[in-house]
Amino acid sequence: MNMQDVSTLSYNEAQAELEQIVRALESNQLELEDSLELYQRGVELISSLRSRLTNAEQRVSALMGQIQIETDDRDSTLS
Amino acid sequence: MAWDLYGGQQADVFNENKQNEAKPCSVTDALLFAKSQLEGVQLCVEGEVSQVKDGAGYKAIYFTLADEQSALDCMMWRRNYLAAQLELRPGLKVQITGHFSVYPAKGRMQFEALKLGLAGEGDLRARVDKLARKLAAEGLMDPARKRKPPEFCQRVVVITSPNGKVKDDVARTLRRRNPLVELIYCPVTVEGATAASQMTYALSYAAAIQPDAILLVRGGGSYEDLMPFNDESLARAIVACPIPVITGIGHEPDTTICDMVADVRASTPTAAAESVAPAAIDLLNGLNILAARMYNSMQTIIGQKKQQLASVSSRPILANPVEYLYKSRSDMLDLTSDRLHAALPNMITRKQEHLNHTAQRLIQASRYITVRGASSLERLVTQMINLGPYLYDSRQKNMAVLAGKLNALSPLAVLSRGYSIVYNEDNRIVSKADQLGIGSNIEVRLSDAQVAAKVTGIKPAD
Repeated sequence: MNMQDVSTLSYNEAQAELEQIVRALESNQLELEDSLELYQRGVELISSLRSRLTNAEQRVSALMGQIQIETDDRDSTLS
Repeated sequence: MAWDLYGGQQADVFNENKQNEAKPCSVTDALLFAKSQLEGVQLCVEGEVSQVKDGAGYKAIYFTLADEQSALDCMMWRRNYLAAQLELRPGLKVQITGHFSVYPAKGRMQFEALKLGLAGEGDLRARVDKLARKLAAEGLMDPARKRKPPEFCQRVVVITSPNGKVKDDVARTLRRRNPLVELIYCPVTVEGATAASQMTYALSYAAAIQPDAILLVRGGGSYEDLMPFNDESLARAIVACPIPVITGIGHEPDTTICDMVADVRASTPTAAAESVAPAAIDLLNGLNILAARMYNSMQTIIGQKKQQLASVSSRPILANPVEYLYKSRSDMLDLTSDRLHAALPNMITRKQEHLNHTAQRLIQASRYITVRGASSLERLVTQMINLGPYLYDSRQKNMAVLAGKLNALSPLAVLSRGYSIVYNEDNRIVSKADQLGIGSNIEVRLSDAQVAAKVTGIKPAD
């Protein structure tokens, strides 16, 4: 199982891993030690995802420049 | 232009007036005459807007429509104007339907527009419909072709005007709904001749950033305003774009070709923004459900392991190991000893039988040997008895002869006849003079004694 640092996972990656863990635990075909390890990982993922949702600040940026230059070029060739 | 100025009654009045040139009418009559003549006739006029007066408190909007040679003052009641959903501005080519009206007090005439539309709009719609049918025939609008953007897009490029309020609407919507979505704006012109080509380029730039989805959005506008979104190359760029494209163009009833080919069509920019990610509150609820499922299954697992442990530890081997182990071994021992008990007598019996059999054979064999051997033994004994005296007599005679010879040859017998034997110091028999030296001790053996002597001289024999 991929044991990447939770903070480096994207939200979707973390969510997908969490769902996988829940399914694995629900299948109940693991050794007790593995189950406990997965459970701990799941708890980490949940707390990371929760804090991301509650503490998120919107990130907004703009792609300036490039488009303008390109379209200007194109406009000049058209005219 | 279908305006029969000279038809019917009007012609008669005109003629009558010509005939009665000497009898003038009043200004008012003239104007009322004009008013009555003009206001009943409906016209459709096409021209370019040159001036617009749209005062805040006005009940009507005033504008001038012109062509190369002439200008026409027009007015439109605000109610009608709003219904037309078209913003008049200088330079716009429009089509108005209405009639002339005369204001007698000032002797002014103007055209009252009842309906307003864009010039050539009919053509435009026909062209757009044709393009739509062509692209549909190519399968560009096929729902099967369309890609589904991720449920939760974490990164979205928004292609829209940098000026309009659409940009802020999208940001506000997502800030409220799910602030985890990262927004990257790609400012473009959304109206006018260069809009379509700018947006086509913007799509390829946006795709290069590899977002989860691209929003192509703009606020409401007239059919003409939205025309860039009916552009064929922009439509093809949307289809070719490797990233799912979501459109939100204008308001609910507006549908452009971009909307038709887009992977997802939202009715407004706000709806488009909402479609890219689930609300944070829903995600939190989902997380709580997952957490509960995880906790429950862990409880189940631990419960089961406990139960397994209990059932294992209650088995006889663990619950009462001494008895269990002893019993199994003692059972085994009993079994083995039973087998042993059974095995020994069997073996003894077998051996005994074998022995009996062998003994029987031996007895028979010995009987046979005794009977046969007895006769030959008797014969041999007889032979030996007969042979005995013969052997004995001949041997005894030989022995006496040999004893006589032996005695004659004995050196002792020779000594008795006067000979002696000389031994040197080494106790060897001396037979030659060179075995001796002057002064050496010798021993001389006689028939009845030994004499020690010393050599005093040696003379060779004659």
